[in-house]
Amino acid sequence: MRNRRWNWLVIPMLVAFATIYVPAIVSFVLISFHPSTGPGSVGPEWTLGNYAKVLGDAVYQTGLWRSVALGAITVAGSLILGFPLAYYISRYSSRFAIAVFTLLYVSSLTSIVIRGLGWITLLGTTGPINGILQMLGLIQEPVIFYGNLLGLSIAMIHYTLPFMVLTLLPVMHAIPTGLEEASSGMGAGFVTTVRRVVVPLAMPGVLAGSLLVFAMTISAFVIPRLVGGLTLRLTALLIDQEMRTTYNYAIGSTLASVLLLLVAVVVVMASVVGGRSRVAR
Amino acid sequence: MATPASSAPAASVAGHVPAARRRRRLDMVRPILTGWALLVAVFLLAPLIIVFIDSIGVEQYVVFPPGGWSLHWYQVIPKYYLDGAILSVGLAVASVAAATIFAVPAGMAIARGSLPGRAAIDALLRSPVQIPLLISGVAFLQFYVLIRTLTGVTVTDSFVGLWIAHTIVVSPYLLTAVVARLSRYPASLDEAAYGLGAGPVRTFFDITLPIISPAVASGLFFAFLVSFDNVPTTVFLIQSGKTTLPLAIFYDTDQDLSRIQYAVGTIVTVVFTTLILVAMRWLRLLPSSASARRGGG
Amino acid sequence: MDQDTVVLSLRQLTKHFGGVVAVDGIDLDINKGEFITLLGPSGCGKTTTVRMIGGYEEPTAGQIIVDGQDITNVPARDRNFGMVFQDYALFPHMTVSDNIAYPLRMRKWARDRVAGRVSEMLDLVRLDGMGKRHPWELSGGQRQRVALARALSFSPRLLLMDEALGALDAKLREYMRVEIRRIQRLLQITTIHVTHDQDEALGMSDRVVVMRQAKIAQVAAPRDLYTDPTSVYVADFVGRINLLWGHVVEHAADATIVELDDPFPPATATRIRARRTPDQAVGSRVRVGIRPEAVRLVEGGGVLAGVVSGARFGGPLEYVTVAIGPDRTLDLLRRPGDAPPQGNVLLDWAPDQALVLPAD
Repeated sequence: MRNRRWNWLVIPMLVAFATIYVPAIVSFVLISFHPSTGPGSVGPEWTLGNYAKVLGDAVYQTGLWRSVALGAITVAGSLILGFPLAYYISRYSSRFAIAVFTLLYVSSLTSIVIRGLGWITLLGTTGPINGILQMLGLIQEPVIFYGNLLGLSIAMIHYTLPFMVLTLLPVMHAIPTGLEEASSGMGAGFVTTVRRVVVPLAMPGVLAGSLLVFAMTISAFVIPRLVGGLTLRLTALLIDQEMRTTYNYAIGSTLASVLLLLVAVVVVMASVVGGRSRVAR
Repeated sequence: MATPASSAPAASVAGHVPAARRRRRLDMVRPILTGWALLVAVFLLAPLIIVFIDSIGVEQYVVFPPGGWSLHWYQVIPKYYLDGAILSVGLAVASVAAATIFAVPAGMAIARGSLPGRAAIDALLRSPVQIPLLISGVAFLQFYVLIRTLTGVTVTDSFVGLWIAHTIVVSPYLLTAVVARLSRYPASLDEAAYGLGAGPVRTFFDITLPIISPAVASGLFFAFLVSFDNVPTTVFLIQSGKTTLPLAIFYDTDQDLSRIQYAVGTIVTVVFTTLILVAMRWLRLLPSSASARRGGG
Repeated sequence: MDQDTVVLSLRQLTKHFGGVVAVDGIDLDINKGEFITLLGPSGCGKTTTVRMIGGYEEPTAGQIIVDGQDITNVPARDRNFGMVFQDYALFPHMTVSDNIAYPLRMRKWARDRVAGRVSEMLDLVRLDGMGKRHPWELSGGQRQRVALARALSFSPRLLLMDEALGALDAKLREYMRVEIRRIQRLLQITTIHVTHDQDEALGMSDRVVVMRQAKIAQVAAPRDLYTDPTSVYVADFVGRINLLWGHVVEHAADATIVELDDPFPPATATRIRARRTPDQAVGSRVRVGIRPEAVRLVEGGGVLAGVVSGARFGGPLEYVTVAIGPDRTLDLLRRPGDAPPQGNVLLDWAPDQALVLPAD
């Protein structure tokens, strides 16, 4: 029973959000509409110049496209690794499946900075990945992983994979195994059953997981900074540079606003997908 | 299982594939998937294991593979890492405590009240989880600069500034935990307490709170980890002086990468992992609530 | 019923949920020590009524009076009523003893007095030795008894039970009916019980309140409710009954004559003698209700003729369905004979067993 007398309990948090959080979000968005007048300051007049610059300048454009590309690669990678894994965990309750599940969970909660440290060594020119590839005779010269999307996307897949799998799992669990038995009972092979039955039914989870991973990736900061490096000029790294190195608050805020808008669009899409799958159920 | 009615057509379709071959293919699915899971497990563990290996190498600068083994780096961890750890824990505890005070009552109101515009209020109060941590950092930095310009009060570069930002950022974890728990909390429990002679406050502390506390505790736990490990917001709000532990590692990685960071990283990972495993066991943490964690690191 | 013994009175009690009328101006007096059951289908307002009595729902209008005092606006905690909820609402983080002791702690009883009462209550509900367990370690029936013990431990003025047996399986439910009645008689506590199960209502109660669409349809002792229902609704809801259409022809000295609607098989009397019911005016349309067990098969004479269309064996008794016209059947209940009846039969009943009910 909903009751009016509980309502007032929301007031402290609502007031805190109305006086701190909302103004904080509004303030940087407002600053994006003012011209920079030197390090750490903006002028009083209103302008769209920052947006023109951010969307017109090759450096910022490249950064945005690279961020989007990184997001797409990471979504694809975590889906390729994660979909079979989620299927495996949902269908087999062996000790090993539970252990992998626990590992996913622990991995998602361990410090991001420290995982970044690990990837710096793993992806190094003398690191274990290059070592194994050379040992197998697949490559002669070490592959350069640092400062490009190749190495960064591997680390980003590692970062986002648990979220992909944990989003897929409830959807996988909801698919009755009887459907797969029925499909194989009618003569379909395993691959056909997965393609015709499991994948279509898991689609809401695939979409939700993909959108989540995409939003996480385009706005990620720590891993791109540690593994990708500044030369990649990803939007998140440019925001940091403008805010903390050149103190161009106007441009930094504009980049942040653009990124926030992008993330907001993805989040809204995800909630639409989520809402629709709930209706379907 | 096929019923007699359905087995006839099924048999005629399946008849084209020799039964033995079909069975063999099905039997291969499990080993292939298990192998895949093993591969992913190695992938997941690799960075954590490598951090440990790097921490016990003999050379000061990180070379792989190390030329020899040494625990030396654990003995020379500079004091500012300890200070950073203390600041991180203090900040996380203070933020989680403040968030609890705001978010638990708000969760009760959202779950049980008849708020006008409930969906909108709920979305607003949860939204800090959706906003990338980096952007929260930019937002609070700009907000604090604005406050300094308008009132002369400096919040930037202070514990209070960090505290406020972290509290807002982690509060949705508690709110979500409380609302989710209360949505499957039978109203009759509280009614029973009223009928037996307890007032609303008494009922909350005797009945409601003890029953929802495991859920609140898991919310607290996530909130603590998010606050502790938050670099993207913190980096904008500390410009000089003391830093948090992850931020100290982050800065040193940039300027002075050595085995010391790997030693610190190993310690933090061991402590974190132990905490997480204990929490999974004791609080019966629902792993799905981990998917609420987003924002980007 | 003696006026002095009334403990609880409902006066025009009304509850609206938004535009929906859940309870529509109910008047009811409940006597001291009485076991009264609110019976009706889901949505008839019985649960809302008991929740208003308990103080869990605020009435839109009307009064609740206990021992002459208006308690309509007294909060639940101060009413001193025990309530057994449908899901029992046992506190999962407390032991059985702590659950039973909770109302006593709220009343600031001394520690040893609490312990004494808790063990008395455990004895009463036959759960001695179970005090240290948690609710999840108990069976459904045991939980039900803990809920009862907790609702009774503080000697409440009234005991309320909302579908309290609904979650139990059939066998256990029957056992608990007897058990609850034993405890209720022992403590002489006025009890208001809500159920949609007519067997439960008839088997446990001193009086039954049949509810229909937010109103009271009839209040009567179980036996009277069964033999003298005042409406088709009650007659049909409580037990099984055959209902025929007709109109009143005349009121004789010892019976009311009703002309049954055609068509009936030829050569049978369509004019029957029914219980004398003078409040149904001559010429008014009525339903005639006859309980299956009142219908007998006879060799000659009888009221109606028919053809046996089915028989259903049910252990000690069997239902026989007799077609008495196109699309019209009548059920009778009898001891199974050597063989089920077949073919053409003659039916008879005592005039007093044929109820004349308003046609609605």
